[in-house]
This record gives sequence, C-alpha cells and structure tokens, in this order.
Amino acid sequence: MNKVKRLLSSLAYPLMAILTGLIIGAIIIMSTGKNPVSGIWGLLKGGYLTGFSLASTLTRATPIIFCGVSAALAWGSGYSSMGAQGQMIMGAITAAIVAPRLPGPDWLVVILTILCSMVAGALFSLCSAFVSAKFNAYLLIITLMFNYVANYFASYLTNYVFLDPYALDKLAIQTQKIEGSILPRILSKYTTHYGFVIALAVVILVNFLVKRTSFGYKARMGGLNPHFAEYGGIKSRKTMYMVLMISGAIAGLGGACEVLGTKFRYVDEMITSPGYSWSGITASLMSNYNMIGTLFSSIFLAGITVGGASIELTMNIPSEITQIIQGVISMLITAKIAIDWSKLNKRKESAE
Amino acid sequence: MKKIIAMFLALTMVLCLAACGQKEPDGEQTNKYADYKVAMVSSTVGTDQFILQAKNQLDAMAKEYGFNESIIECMTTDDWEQKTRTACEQGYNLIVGVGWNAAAPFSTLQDEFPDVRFAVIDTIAANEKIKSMNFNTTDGCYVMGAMIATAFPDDTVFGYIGNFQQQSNFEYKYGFMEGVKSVKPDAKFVSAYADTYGDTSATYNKAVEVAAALGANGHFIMGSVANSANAGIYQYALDRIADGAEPIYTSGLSVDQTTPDNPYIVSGLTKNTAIPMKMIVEDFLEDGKVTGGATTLGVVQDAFCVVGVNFDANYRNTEIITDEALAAGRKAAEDLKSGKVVLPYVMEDDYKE
Repeated sequence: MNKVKRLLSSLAYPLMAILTGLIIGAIIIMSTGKNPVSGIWGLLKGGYLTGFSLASTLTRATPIIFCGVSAALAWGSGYSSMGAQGQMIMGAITAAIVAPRLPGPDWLVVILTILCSMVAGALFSLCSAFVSAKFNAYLLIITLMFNYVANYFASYLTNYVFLDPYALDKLAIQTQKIEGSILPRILSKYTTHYGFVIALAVVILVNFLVKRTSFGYKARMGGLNPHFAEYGGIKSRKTMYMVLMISGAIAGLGGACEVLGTKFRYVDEMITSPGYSWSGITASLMSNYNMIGTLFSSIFLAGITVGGASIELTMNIPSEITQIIQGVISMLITAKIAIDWSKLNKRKESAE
Repeated sequence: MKKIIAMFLALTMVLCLAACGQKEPDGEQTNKYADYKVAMVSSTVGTDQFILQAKNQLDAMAKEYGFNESIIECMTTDDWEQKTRTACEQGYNLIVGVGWNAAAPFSTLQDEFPDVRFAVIDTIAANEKIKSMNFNTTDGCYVMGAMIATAFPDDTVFGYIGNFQQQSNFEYKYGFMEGVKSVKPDAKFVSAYADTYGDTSATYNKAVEVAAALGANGHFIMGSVANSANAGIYQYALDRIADGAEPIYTSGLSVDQTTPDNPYIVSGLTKNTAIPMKMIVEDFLEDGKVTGGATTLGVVQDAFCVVGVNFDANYRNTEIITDEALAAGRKAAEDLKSGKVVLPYVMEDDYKE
C-alpha cells in the first residue's frame, strides 16, 4: 500500500504539469474558434489511439528515449550534462559515414556501425568531461558549447566532405543514402523500426545498472557529494568519466538508430532541428530521472507532437499548440526543480 | 490530492466552455473537383515570398476549382516526413512539396502510398514517379551578368558572394560569369563564401573582403547567400557611403529587394514558385494524376526572373541600370529563349574562368 502511495505521490506533480499543459492548450484552441474538446481529443487520438498514430509516435519517441535515458543517467548521478544533442549528432554522422563504406553482410555492418557511433558519442562526451574537470569549468556550460561544436563539425562534413555525390538536387545538404544496412521496420506497414526495441533494451539495462549495481551507487555518490565519495574510497573523477562516457554512448547509439532506422542518411540539422535532446531532457526531468518513467514521458511527448500534426490537417489547428503544451510542461517541471534545489540549499546553509 | 482535484475542476470548466467552439460549416460538393484534397508542404510560410507565391497560387486555384486544400508548415527537418505521412494517411490526393527538404521523404513515401500523387518544387526527387519542377538558375544569372557588365562599362573585376561552395551555388556563379563575359570577355572575378544561410555579420565581413579585392577595378558584388543574410552586403554598401568610400553595388535574392532606401541594390534574382504550382495542379486536375519526372523552368518560362528584366523593379537606380543596361539584359534573355545562346551544364571542377 505504501509503495502505491509513494508511486502516486511521485506521479502527482508530473500529471498536474501535463494536465495544466493540456488545459492551456485547450484554452488556446478555443481562442482560435475551434472546439477545445475535439481539439484535445484529436490531439490524443492522432498521437496514440490508432495503429498508424501509435507507430508514428513510437518512431518519433525512439531518439527522445535515447536522449532521455542519457540525460537521466548523467543528471541522476549529479552531473548536469546537456550534451546529449552533440553526442547524438556525433553518433548520427558517424553512422552515416561508416555504414555505406563498411564491407560485409548487412547485419554485421549494422552492428559495427552502431558500435562506431557509440564510441563516437562516448569519446565526444569524454572530451567535454575532460575539459570540465581539467579547467574546473561548469559541465553544463561546457556540454552546451560542445553541442555547437558537434553540429558545426557535422555540418562541415556534410557540406564539404561527404555530400551525397548521387543527389539529383545539389541544394540538398545530406550524405549518401544507406542501402541495405539498415534497421528494419518491426511491421512493414508501420514506421516503427528495431531502434525502438534497442531503446527499450537500453532503458532496462541502464535501469539495472543504476539501481542494482555498485557502479550505480558509486555514480550517485560521486555526483551528489564528491568529497563524501572520495572519503568513502570512491574515485569520483574516474566515476564521472565513466558515467558521462556511458551517457554519451547511449546518445550516440540514438543517433545511429535515427540514421539507420528513419533517415538512412545524415541530413544537416536532422538532430538539432526536431529538438530531440530537449524533449529527452524534459522527459527525464518529468520522471525525476527514473528510467522507466523517462520511457513513458518520451512516448507522451512524442505523441503530442504527432497528434499536433494530425489536428493541423484535420481541424486546421496550428501544430504550434503542441509546442505550447510541451513548453508549459517543461516550465512547470523546471520550476519545481528550481524550487526544490533552492529549498535544499537553504537547508544546507541552516545546517552549517 | 487537493491540487489534483483542483486541476480536474479546472479541466471540467474548460470542457464546459466547449460549446463556445464553432462548428465547422458543412461544405457543399457542387463540382467534380470537390472530393480532391490537395496539400502543400513547406517550411513556415510567414512572409517568405518564395513560399507565399506557391501558396497564393494554390489558394487561388482551390477557390477557382473548388477542391480542398491544406497548407502544411514544417518547423523541423523531421516534420517533412512525419506530416506528409499523416497527410497520406488522411487521404490527400496530391501533395506538393516546396523546397529541397521534400525530395528525400517524398521519394520514400511515393513507394509506400502509390495512390497518392506527389510533386516537388525547386528540387528533383530521386523517385521518377514524382513530378519534379526545378529551376534553371544559370540562365537567369547569365541575363543578370550581361546587364551588370553593361551597367558598369569601366569595371574589369566583378564580385560574387555565395553561401557554401557547392555545385548549386556554382550554377549561379557560372551563369553570372558567362553573362559578364558575353559583354566583357576578359573580365575577372572575385568569389567568397559566407558559409551560412542566416548569419548577416558573416556576410558583411565577406563583403568587406570582396570589396577590398575588387579595389578600384570593380563596383559590383552579386549577393547570392540568402535573401535575409544578403542584408550584410546591403548594409556594407550603405556603410561605405557613410565612410566616404567609393560605392559598391549589389543584387538581391528570392524577392525583389530593390528599394529607394538602399539604392545600391540594383537588381536581383527571383524564383516564381506560382508557375510550377499552377502547372502541377493543372496537370493533376486533368485526370487525377501527375506526370512523373523532372522539368526545368527558367528565364524562358518567366519562372526564374531577373529584377528589371522580367518585371519592373520596385525601385530602379537609373544611374546604374540605364536603358542600355536593361536592353542588354533583355537581349540576353531573348538569346536564351531563341536558343541562340545555350549554356551547357558544367561541374565546378571542370570550369576554367
């Protein structure tokens, strides 16, 4: 009974944030002269309640889940990394470059490509962690800046080095299309591909890593209180590098899945433009860094975007409405975190 | 718990207000096109003339023929496939994409939804079932080059600033150079790339560099970055006057950007997306199908236009764009139309200035 109570109490605030977001969305729909009930119903139906919409939602949720888990691992361990976007870009561009050039059977190429992308994501994350540790700079700022580095680097490679030589349209800033060595669809009728299955496996594995292993414990301790961790014999810097590398590898894997399962090439801005990483971070915050919660939050956030596209067509409601809903949810969740953080600081000060 | 109850109460209040929403009027189906659903997929329409021309054309045709139309705006790269897929699922008969982002997703979707007709404007889709309407930019730039070379009779060097060094930009530059050389065979060129589509300051800095390289031998820089980022060149042209330096003249992109506020913008290049949109929809309305394959539109069809030549400029700096210069531009256009001048397709690596 206590467990249920605890679960309900932990769900209360995110649910309230979602509800508030939907209410504000409904009010805005009403202000455009449309029926808010039909609008919200259309949003939910278009996002989750038909085979097509659910499949579209799960496809869109896949990169968000990777970013969310990557962020939840880092933030839940006390390392405020915003670098999932850059790491995902590095994973995606690596996959787009490696996959068409690797020899061998398709399944082997897919596996090797995924491994290369994970290494790219991990190394890129390691770079930002090293700079942060070496120069005692805020990890949050460093990882944010590294996102720009990754985006411009990938943009340069796409524009000047690996631009699709077979493109009929020379304006298209994209790499060569990958044929054969791709992540197939789970059901040929729907877009959801095996990247989603990989995402589910990652959620389960990382959840196990965080909750059931000594590494997970060390990571939390090292991040939350490095001095206490050091006193207890935990090498906090090494732990930080490990956590951030795993986090980067997960984001890199997400980039590979997006290239191999959805786009089959790297298209300039394909990771930054849809805002996967911000949605992922919002999903991890909504679930208080819980991996399973992040999974469902990611699917929810993807669903309202897909549903938004649907009501734009069927009811002529601007799809920006979904961004407003997401924005309200993010704002309320972040506000709560800021308040909690401020309370914690005050408590610490009064204890001292 | 109280908070949750309060939230549900608030939601109930909103639902009670649902009656305030308007019911959509039932459309009467009075003609044979009433069942057709046509969608245009593009980036955010806003005030972008490139997209607005296509949209306005579609609006006008929907009104004239009575078919249903929707404008699908894509804010992210992911939207192009996602939203178009949703449109396919919702029974749209013709989907027209405006911009290069449409080519790849439409090629995939055409195979998945064989009953839906697809067309793209300003790009070429790899899938040959799709009707691709592309622009011949080289011819238009040739016309502008001939006009500009005549407008600056004493100049021997001409400038060019593009966004990225790639074949699509070379096609602009190549046309311009050939146009100038048709009047001044010994002309030289200074080129730079701003490596951006939107950074005005980067474009401004490139304008400074190119102007320095032109020196006293040249006074014109063709602005080919983007209609917004070209503003860096326009601003530099104004700043030079404020600094007491020799004037530099330039050209606009996408829309007619000539204005009395900046008389240094003397011409421009525009893509008229209304023309391909009209051709696509007319083709579709004939029998509910579209003819696949690529078609290139240019100066000949008045689809890729030179400001001042194909239509009157908003503002004409008559000191520079003299009647003689205009006549040179019009003659170049006529030569292209009659086939007297044919510019072969050339890859950048194979071209010798």
